Amino acid sequence: MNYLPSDYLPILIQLGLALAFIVGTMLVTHSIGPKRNSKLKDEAFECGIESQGDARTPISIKYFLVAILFVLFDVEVIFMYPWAVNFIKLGSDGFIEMILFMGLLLAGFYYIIRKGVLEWEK
Amino acid sequence: MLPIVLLSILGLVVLFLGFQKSKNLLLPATLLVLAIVLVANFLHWNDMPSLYFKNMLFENKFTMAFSGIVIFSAFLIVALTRGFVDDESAQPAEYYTLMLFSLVGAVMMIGFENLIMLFVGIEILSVSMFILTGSDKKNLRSNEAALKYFLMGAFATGIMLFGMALLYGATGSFNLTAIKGYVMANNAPSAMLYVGLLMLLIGMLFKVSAAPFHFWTPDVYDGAPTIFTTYMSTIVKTAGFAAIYRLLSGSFSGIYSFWWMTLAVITVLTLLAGNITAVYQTSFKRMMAYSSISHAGYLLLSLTALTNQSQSAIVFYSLAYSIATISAFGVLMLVAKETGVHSYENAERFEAFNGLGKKNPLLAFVLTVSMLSLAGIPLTAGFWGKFFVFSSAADRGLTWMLVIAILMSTVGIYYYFKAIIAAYMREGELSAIKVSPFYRLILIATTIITLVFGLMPDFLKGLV
Amino acid sequence: MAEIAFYGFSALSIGAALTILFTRNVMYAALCLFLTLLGVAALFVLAGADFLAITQILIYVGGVLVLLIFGIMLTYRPDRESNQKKNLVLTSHLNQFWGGLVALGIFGVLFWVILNANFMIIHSPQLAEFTPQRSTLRSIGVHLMTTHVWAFEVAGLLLLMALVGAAYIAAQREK
Repeated sequence: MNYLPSDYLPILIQLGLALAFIVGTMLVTHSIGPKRNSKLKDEAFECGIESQGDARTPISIKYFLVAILFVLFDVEVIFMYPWAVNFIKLGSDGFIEMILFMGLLLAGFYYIIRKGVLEWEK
Repeated sequence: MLPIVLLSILGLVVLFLGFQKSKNLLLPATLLVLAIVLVANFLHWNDMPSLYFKNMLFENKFTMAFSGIVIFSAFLIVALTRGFVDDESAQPAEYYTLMLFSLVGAVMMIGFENLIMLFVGIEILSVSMFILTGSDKKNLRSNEAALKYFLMGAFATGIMLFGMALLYGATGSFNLTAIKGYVMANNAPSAMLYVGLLMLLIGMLFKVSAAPFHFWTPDVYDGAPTIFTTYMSTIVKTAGFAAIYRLLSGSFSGIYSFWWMTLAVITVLTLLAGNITAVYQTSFKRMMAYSSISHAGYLLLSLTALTNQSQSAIVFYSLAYSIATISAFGVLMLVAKETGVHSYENAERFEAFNGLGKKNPLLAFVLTVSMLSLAGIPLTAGFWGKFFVFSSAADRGLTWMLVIAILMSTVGIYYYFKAIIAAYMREGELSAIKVSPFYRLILIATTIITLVFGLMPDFLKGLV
Repeated sequence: MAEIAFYGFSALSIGAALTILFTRNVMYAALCLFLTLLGVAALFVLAGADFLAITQILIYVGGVLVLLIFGIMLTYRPDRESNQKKNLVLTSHLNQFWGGLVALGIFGVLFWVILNANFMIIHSPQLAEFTPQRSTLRSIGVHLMTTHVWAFEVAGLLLLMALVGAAYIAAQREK
């Protein structure tokens, strides 16, 4: 096999650089900055207003629905990728097949819109 | 393979019909779709067996008969929904669409020639069942059932997929015929093939709730709305058994000695677990869940034998079982609605049938015939189903399994008669239940089919 | 070089997977799942399955994991009464012995199977005349749209069904 994971070397290097930058800056800022802690200073604040409640409150189910729809259309896009690469080769047959596939998904999308699932305030 | 195309397109049509103001059109539309598909399914009855969709699906009389059973059962069940008129929060368009789409999965499972199609088919059927199980959103037990079913089903799917991958590694193909070619060419199949087959079977046996993969069944069947329990216990099971039969006979009949012992152990476990646990149930619905496990055992017995007779035996058995189950649940739904008014607790227990025979002779008769058929009493279709299954096992010489199966079916008679005794011998305050003419017609039809096949079993057996 | 990468990413995946198993903090588990999936994607790249790697990152890392974390955020109800200082989402470990036994058993069987594996595809004539390409993407695309086109279309149906189901299950109850 002369297949070439080495082609991915730039990505690996990029990953390494990104990680090194993050870790490096965090280490450096933690070690060279002065540390003066007080209760007032460590308090979480927003524009001078005292924080209330908890960061981990249950969120609305609407976000979840949007996330589910996102994943579904994500899968759809993944299916389009290999088709798009071979667009010329597959010709009109491939185009019709893809239209059919997209048609099913768009029918679902139309259903979602008509049903008012994406309406935020109802 | 017209049914798949028709079901997909017309399913979409039904979905968009749901946007109409009036919901009255949905039930007749869905029934019409199913009738069209049923006719389309049998259009090529006299043709030679052939491959479709670039060798992805296979069609012969066996697959057509099975698709026919599945679509016909769906027709009967949809007819019993009565348009979900008594439930305000129900969304009938979605339910009907999911049912129609799930039939696409069932037909694919029956006719698959390529393991990819099997996988997608099982996924379609399972995902729609997860949703329908949890369709009663306000009922906590329905939610619990859906979650349980989903988690366990996801694991089973994962195991099945792993098995397929191993099979691909061992044989180099997803195609049933190609796998058969590999099995024939290699007398001593590799460990990878065996483990792959085992994992694939585990995934599929989970879907038909064979022991020891049956623990989800009672809770899920009990928690789901009764109409969808009916759907699950007939259509999912029928399609699942057709798929297992196609897999084993299509690819692995050459290494019968390799897998029959595994399947035999599972069969015996299923028979014992289903029948013995069913005896102790106080809820009729739960009893039916265990009874469905025990029927999976009888069907597995025929698969373990895998003789020439097995094919027609499982077709006949599936039909007899589906029809009887539909009429039993049909009566239960009426009675549970009536008793549910007085006491929610008792709605689905055996006591709900108390005094049914006096005021509602027709319903009691329908219930009796379906119970007799499930128990396998002569003059009903269920008897001949069991007879064919047992004779296929006898042909293979599986005497010890036959003894267990016959013993267990006598145990079965005991718990099925509990319902009949409750209906005729016990006193109850059940008043006359109003049954709509259409509902009545369906119940009478299922009863007549059960009796007709009980009197003339050769009629169907000669066909396949 | 490839070997170092292989062992590095394997260690990343296995380490993160073990952390998922042993941590009691659900949020940590979700974030470790991210590392595991990323490591597996890298292993796919090393095995020459670049399309699979992209799919893994786009769908699992980008989609399913977000969904998972949303799920935790949606369902977790903070226990305000308890004096717990840090408000962590914790689980408990149950049935460790039997679970471990089953997992080890399955691992043993699969390990043995893979060691004794005789992959058919290696002997197939197609592989002999296989010309190494720069990417598997093209051949996957051609197969997806020709030989497996029906599975592809039906997958569209499956997605549509999931869409309808998700809208039904997760939508707000009326009124």
